Amino acid sequence: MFSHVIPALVEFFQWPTPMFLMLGGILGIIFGILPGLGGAQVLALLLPVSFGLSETSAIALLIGAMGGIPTSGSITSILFNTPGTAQSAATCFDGFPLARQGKAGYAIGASISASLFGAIFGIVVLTALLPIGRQVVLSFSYPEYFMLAIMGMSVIAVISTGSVLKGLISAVFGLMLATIGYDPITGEVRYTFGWVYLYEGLKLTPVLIGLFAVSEAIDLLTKKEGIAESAAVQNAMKGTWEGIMAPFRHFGLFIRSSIVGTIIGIIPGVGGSVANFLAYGQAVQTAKDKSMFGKGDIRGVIAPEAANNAKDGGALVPTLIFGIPGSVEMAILLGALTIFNIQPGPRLILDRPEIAITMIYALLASNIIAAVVSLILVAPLARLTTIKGTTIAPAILMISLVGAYATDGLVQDVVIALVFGLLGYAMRRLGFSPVPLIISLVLGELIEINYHQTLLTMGAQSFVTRPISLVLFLITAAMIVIPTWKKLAKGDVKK
Amino acid sequence: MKKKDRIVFDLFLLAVTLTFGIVAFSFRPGSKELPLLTTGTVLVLILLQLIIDLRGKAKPETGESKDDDSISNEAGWGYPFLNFVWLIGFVVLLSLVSYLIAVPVFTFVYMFVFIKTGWRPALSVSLGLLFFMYVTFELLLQSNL
Repeated sequence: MFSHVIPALVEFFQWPTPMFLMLGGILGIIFGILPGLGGAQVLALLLPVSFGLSETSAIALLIGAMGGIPTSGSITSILFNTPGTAQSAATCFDGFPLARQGKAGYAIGASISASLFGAIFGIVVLTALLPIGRQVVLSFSYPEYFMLAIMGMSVIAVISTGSVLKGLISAVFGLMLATIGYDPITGEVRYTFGWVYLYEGLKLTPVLIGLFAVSEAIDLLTKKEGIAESAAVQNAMKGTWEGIMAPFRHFGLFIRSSIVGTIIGIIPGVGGSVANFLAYGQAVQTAKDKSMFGKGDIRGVIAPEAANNAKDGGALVPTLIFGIPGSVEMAILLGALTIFNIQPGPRLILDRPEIAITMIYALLASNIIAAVVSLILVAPLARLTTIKGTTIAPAILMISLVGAYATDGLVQDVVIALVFGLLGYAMRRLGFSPVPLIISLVLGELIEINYHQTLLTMGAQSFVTRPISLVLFLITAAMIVIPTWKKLAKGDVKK
Repeated sequence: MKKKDRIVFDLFLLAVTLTFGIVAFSFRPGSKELPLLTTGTVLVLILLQLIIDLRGKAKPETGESKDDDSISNEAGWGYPFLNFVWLIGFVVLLSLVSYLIAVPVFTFVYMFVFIKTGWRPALSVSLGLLFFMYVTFELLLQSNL
């Protein structure tokens, strides 16, 4: 694997890949700043654009955008008390009070510095775990891959927003939709209802665009208000250098928070919104003097920001080693890989290690770009938040729908994006997370192929007679049963 | 969220899943196992959810957590649905003319007539989108859409 490090680096720096990395980084920063819009939306919008690019440039564009989100998402948390993304929500607790005290630059500096070095921490852990992961993957066969995919799907369903039951419905419904089109083994066409367009199954891009970008834009339009409360952006850069150095003055806290973020990232589907709250919680619990938390304590900015960037490196661990997306952004990334005929899954780091290495480079570079660009553009970018939803939502809608159309130049793709936009809007409004649905759609083929291969080569009993497969099955069952049991025990069944 | 809304959505999911389940019986052996397994599982889960929703009380509109996946639950369903009806209009327009015409024309009419932003924002967003799409899809990507 390490023999690919230098060639992948050389290719990564070949023009125009750096340009696409920069473009992705800037778009990620803009989407991170806009409340309500985040990684899933920017990736959904960029996915059609990536089709015309080389593999390396496409990865640079997509991971560039993803890496910029958590860094810039904290800027509005600090300036307006409005988190750009959910993963920056805990930054509001102390970032905004600091801004009100005229220390916005101090807080933003600390946030950017903690974000960058937190991300580097996560990437170092990822790099250390990849060679071990390769050995783990070699001990897996069809039943293990099947059980692993089912486990990934179940974890995400159980821990995603809303009730466990709704998460499971969303996940299995997604798996049901994944069976549309040709059967990967028998070749029989299923669920097309006479529509030739569906022969190859549901395309991921229009579905993603619908579920995330279209539904979000409709919500922005429905609210008919400014994306964030208008506020003067003054003295934003004052005390920035002092802030940049703050994580080094609280180095122990920074390392602990980065570890929390990385671990949360490794667990599929938990995501940055959990990482930043947990890191904030441990910062408060481990502090000797807790009196300033919530009133403008710089430690309350460092902890969540280090954690929410470190989680990206962590999230690449299950994504690259097992093919289980660590987050919805990773699910979209895996979807993008399939478009380049790269099958996501455990074989990825064995068959195409240069792809895994390119992802690591892109994540590192995108975080550096995000840090530098955020420092330069913080004041003008903050003004974006004053744009009304009624102005920005039509633009998002048009870019998303034309993005779906650009996939293959088919109007049917726009129809699918609209259908899933409506479905996504209804799901999210009624407490069903669309994340398990999309992850099941991504993992669907992997599940079906390994299900059939297991039955053909080893028999159904091998799901539970092979030790690793059995352990994965038991873990999956426990993950579904235990939270439900606890809720039933508490009498909380109305969700 | 309203109890009626939840029940209607459960019934919608139930109808879709039942359709998939019935159709799955017509597939050849080897192709129908996973579809039957998934539709059966979804059916059981949705029925459980339906029972919970039928027994449960309507939840208040306020006080719900706002996180990654949830969106505003304050407005009614009429305005979002009307939005989708307008967007169907965009699909029709797109099937008739080039996207470089459909996008600015639709955006202007949509913003001016439906969203009522006034002609200046409508015109500037329309022209901005036209410029963005021309540069992205025609000049950079040479998509030939």
